[in-house]
Amino acid sequence: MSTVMERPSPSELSPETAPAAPRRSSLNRRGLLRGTGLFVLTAFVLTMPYDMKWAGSAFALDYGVIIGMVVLSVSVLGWIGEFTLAVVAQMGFGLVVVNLLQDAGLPFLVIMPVVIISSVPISILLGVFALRLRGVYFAIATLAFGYMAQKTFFQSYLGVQGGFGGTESKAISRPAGFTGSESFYYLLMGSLLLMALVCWAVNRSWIGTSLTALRESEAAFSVLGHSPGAYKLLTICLSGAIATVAGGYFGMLQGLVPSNYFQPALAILYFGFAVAGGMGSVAGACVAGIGFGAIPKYFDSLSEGRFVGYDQFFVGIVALALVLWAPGGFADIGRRVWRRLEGNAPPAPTVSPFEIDVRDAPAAAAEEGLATVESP
Amino acid sequence: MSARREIFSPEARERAARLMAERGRAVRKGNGRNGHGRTLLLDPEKLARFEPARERVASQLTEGGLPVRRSHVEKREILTVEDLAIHFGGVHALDGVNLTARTAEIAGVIGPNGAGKTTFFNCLSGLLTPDRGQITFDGHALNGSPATRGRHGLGRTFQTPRLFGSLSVLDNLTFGCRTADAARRDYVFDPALRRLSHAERGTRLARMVGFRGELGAPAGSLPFGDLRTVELARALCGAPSLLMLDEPASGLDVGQAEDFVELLRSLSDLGLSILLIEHDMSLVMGICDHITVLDFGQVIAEGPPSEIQRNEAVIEAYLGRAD
Repeated sequence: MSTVMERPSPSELSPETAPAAPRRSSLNRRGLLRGTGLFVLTAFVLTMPYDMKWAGSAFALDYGVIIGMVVLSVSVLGWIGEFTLAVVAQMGFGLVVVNLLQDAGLPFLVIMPVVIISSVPISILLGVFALRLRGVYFAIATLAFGYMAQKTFFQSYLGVQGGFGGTESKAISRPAGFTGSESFYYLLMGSLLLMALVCWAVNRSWIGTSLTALRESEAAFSVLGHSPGAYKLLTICLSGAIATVAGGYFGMLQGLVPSNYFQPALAILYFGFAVAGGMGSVAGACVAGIGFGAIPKYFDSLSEGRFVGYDQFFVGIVALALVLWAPGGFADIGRRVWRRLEGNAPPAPTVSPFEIDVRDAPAAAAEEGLATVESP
Repeated sequence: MSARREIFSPEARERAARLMAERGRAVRKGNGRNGHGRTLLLDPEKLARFEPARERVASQLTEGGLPVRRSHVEKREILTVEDLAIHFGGVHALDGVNLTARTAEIAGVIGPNGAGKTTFFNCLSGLLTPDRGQITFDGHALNGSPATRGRHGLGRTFQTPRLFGSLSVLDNLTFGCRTADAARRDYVFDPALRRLSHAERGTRLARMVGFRGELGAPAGSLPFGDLRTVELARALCGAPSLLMLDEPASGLDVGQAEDFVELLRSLSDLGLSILLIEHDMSLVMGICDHITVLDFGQVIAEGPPSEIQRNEAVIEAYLGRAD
């Protein structure tokens, strides 16, 4: 049994000397990093279509941003621990609604809110599956829904069995003022950022906390008096609205969209993108979607078409590397890089103002290098 | 060997006290136990400068204690279960179970493993739908989802604690508080709790059940004993009229178990109805007012602990004989 005491120097004993100084410096560094990061990101986002001109048209970027929306809609469902394969069907509904509303002569600012509202019935239909099924079973149900939608509704409405841009395809136009690839990029990027902001705000609110609880133990969540169904439906509606809007934008980007584009199996690819981004991560989903959507298109352009068909090979390589070395996806990589940039700054203390614990005295003192206590 | 030892130099003590005061931690009356039988001696005079912080936390320590017991609590039937049955394939997990629980009483449900105790709790809380039977709670037929039953005042803990691991302890507790507010439920054991904010209420109940850890820490990082106490506090935050505890004392050390028994008695005296599954027979026999014994999904005995201990069928099926 022994007790070792390390006497601190007089300067350490002074009440004025507190570990506040390094913390302030760490906060300054964090603030500086955040400011710089935000500035660089904003500049990059604003100039991207022109920065990337050497690699190809801004069409690739537009496509990437739309895929970013789709991946975000898949990733959002990760909040309730589920994944959907109906996302392509929901995109198709969005496209059909946009086509109908454009034919009716409605302006863009009316069309998009209607598209969002139109997604709700489909989402509620999918939500019924989610209330009864979980995990793989829910995913299979959504895949079945996707196939049913493709084989019935889309083929009868779009009326095209053949290749892209078939004669009977429906045409959709871009909104006035956004007809160029560069200008359309700003509309798309603005929409994606708005969606990401909404998702981030929901995730940071008490709804997000409830969704975390629901994901971790549905039984405990429900016996505490909270309805899992309501939260699941809310999340599915949010995810569905994003996918439906993405479908509308996709139609505007392509101009002509045949029914055979809406192959439900594509949803598996988007699910892979969401996993690569970090399931449930808003920023990770956006980055993964834009990256996996735009980069292969740029490769196609740079290789003058010789790369066509190899885009999925590229996606596969990156996905394999991520699964092996960073299973948390881009979100996890981003967090690690950020921590390193911050100099491994410890997280801000989370002690509640009500915290009362008299047992921690030796540990607290030892932690500060004040004394070392050896147990018998 | 004395258990009371000085472990720090005077300077170190001063620094430790300052650190604790800065962090909002308490040194009550200048002394604090370190949790291992030793006492951290702190000079009250040198601590005078930290008086405001100490007073603040000391007052919260007082507030975190158990409320004053009521002199009289009405006892009435709150839960009546009649002919409850459920089967899984060919296994009859519950077969014609009857049980009655009263306010301000602790009812025990005991039986060997696989007897159907947890299944019984799951049927009551709505996680399982029974094949037949009727459950009456607080004068009304108990139907609906687990969430509806939770809002009606049916609280429970699980055999394996199911805290929301990535959320903080306080977030876990406020989940219960939100239910109590949404359902406009009063706390049977301390009506004054309704007037507090969620954070204050959660903190007080956590301290009441004996949790002394950090409320801001992720629940998943807690040791097993603390998981149990926080889960109990979370259930209490929901203002239940009937609290169902599934093996609450398993994993607790002797000291924690003693505190736990005292807490259950106090809560029961204050009017809370408690339904308890437990394998620790000394605990069950010590605190329960009424015991129901299950074996292969059927009630083989019921009555006060003294009768159960002498019941031949119970001795044969579960308690065993002291040879």
